[in-house]
Amino acid sequence: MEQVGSTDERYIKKVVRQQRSLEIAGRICLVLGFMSLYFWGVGVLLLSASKILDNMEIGHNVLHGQYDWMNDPTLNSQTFEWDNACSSESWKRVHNYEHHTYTNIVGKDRDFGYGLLRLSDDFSWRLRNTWQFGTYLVLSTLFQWGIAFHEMAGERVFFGKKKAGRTSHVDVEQLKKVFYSKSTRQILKDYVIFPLLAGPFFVMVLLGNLAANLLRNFWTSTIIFCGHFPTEVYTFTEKECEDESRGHWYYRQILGSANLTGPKWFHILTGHLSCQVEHHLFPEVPAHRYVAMSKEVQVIAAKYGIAYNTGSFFSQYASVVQRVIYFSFPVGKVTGKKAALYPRF
Amino acid sequence: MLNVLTNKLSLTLFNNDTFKAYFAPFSTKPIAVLMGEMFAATVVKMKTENNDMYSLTLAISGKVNEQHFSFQPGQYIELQVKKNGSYIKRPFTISSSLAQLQQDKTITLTIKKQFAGRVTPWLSSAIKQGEMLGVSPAKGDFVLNRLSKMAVNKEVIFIAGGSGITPFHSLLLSHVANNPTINFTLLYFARANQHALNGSLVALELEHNNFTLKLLQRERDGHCSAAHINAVTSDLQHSEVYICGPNSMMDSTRELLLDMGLPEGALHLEQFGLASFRNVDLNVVRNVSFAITNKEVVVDEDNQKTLLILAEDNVVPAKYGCRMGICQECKCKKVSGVVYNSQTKTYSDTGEEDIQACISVPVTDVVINL
Repeated sequence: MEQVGSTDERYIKKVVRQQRSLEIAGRICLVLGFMSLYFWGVGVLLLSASKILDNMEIGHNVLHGQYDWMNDPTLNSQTFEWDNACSSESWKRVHNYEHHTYTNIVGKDRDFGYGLLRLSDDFSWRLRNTWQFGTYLVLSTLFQWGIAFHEMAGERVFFGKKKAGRTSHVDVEQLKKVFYSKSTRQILKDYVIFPLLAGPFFVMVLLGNLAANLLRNFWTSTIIFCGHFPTEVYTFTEKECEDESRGHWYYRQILGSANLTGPKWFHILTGHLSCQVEHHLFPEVPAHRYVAMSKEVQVIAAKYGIAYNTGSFFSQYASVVQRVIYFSFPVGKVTGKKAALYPRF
Repeated sequence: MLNVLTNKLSLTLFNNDTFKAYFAPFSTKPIAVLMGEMFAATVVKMKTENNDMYSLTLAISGKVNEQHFSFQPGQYIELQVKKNGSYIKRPFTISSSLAQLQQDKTITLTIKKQFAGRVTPWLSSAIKQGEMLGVSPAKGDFVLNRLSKMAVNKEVIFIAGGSGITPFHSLLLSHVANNPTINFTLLYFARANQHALNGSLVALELEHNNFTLKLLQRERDGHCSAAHINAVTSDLQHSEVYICGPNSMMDSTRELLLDMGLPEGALHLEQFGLASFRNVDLNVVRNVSFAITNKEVVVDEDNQKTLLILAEDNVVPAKYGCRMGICQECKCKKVSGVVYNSQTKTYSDTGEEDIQACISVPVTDVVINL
């Protein structure tokens, strides 16, 4: 963190300027769609790129406090709000706290499976797992709503029974209030106000916003699954992590994450979650430094014989699909060769 | 009303509280200026006063009046500077006169290089002419607001130590000429050849009969004593005394004056500057003030509890998550003081900044927004 300074400030400001420019250009192109459908198509792409930058390289990283040291209230984890149905407050609680502290501890990190999917043999098979690949596609389509609902699902706000002994940080009424106000604003924005501003081209802008939101949902969902659920990503039990040392915590972070390789623009569009391992080790370090850091991390992992999961986007995605499908069948305890594919600590 | 509506619209459309915030990354203005919290000021001049003090003159943009920017002599402002990508705020006393503000639209800050300080030693060499900085509205109550009610021939005694001269310079330049019936005396204690701003003080003394200047050397004249006071006034009971300087000097001088019969109401003190710290010793008694809850907690010598635990022990509401420095849920604003980050094993700055309560241990007196 000692090196963090002007370079990082210039970097994040530049990305934010690019995001703003993409958004403005995208919204203009959508309206110009009445001249040619090409404009509309370009508008959708620009707007979804803007939303992806906002959520990934800016939002996710700012909300981790990576830029808090700048003392800039527009890029501070305490005040930042993003273009996503999930309020940043709720996201910080579920993602920054639960997921990053208890990475891949089945039962504590609700990311593992989102409760919807069975992704390891830690859970016993149920009938609904048969069609979980379809469930996964639906989740990807509605991803921002899945995230927005994540904390409420854990607290059993609308259905289900709360687990005994589970302590929550916020009360249910507060959760509901924030959920409704944030999602109302998001719906108003993309499906009412901006379309209305376009006047006669209301429907075109509405559909464009919908398409951009869907593209963003698919992209973020895919990247996040690739960072967490390829085969060979370890899972842990609560018992294994009792009284865990700092060293073991780092060890678990490496084993519980997976990287993606690719060109620079790809890393930026993933919010550098392509370097999921480094992100889990150093969540507060400005993310654009992860690519450089990964070399050193790999050397250390190799030195201590720790599995470092990395690969191209396509190979990692294929292994995610494999995992989702594999566990949709009533396989019990994974043994033999397969056990190496779906390792448990 | 319109403001509330536009902000609501901005929040809905762009997830930013204001449209200004949405476009902020396109601007090079200091962020506090952009957000309307501070005035823009341009660096006009930089002057070395002595080994460890320098003066910075800033031109205020926009109008200079009660509604926009104004100050009372003796007050300070907060300056926002950007160092290595990070915005830092520090309080500095205005050392210039009210007339200078009205004529040139400028203020001068006289700044001491704090030992081990993150801002003051750096600023003197990093600052460039024409650079834009943020200046807060003037703050502080070390002012002569009772001047008009003062009896004729009343004595006003100023006692300055070291860099504590800055508010007095502004007070004297602004008030001496306008109040010929009041006698002003300045006792200025400093090391030999380290009296800052003495050129203009000497000139002021030559020009006005109602101002007496005593430049005292610590090595030769020692600390402020009854003899020093008696030499400048025969009627201490009816004087108003203002003191500004190092804490130890203020404490001893205050006791001296009360013993000599000065009523407590006639004594005015300015806690000055931020405590500098060297080899931080955790084994001291520290006061932790929770500013929002309005609670003060005294932490004894060997207590090394984190701010989060101190807050919880004292029923101060504090958010937390992982309790190990990862999730940033417990992040809160430290207003002043030094904390030790038990994870990075580093000491914080003295000024305002965000800290993680779950891994921060107070090292000096700390004020925290919880």
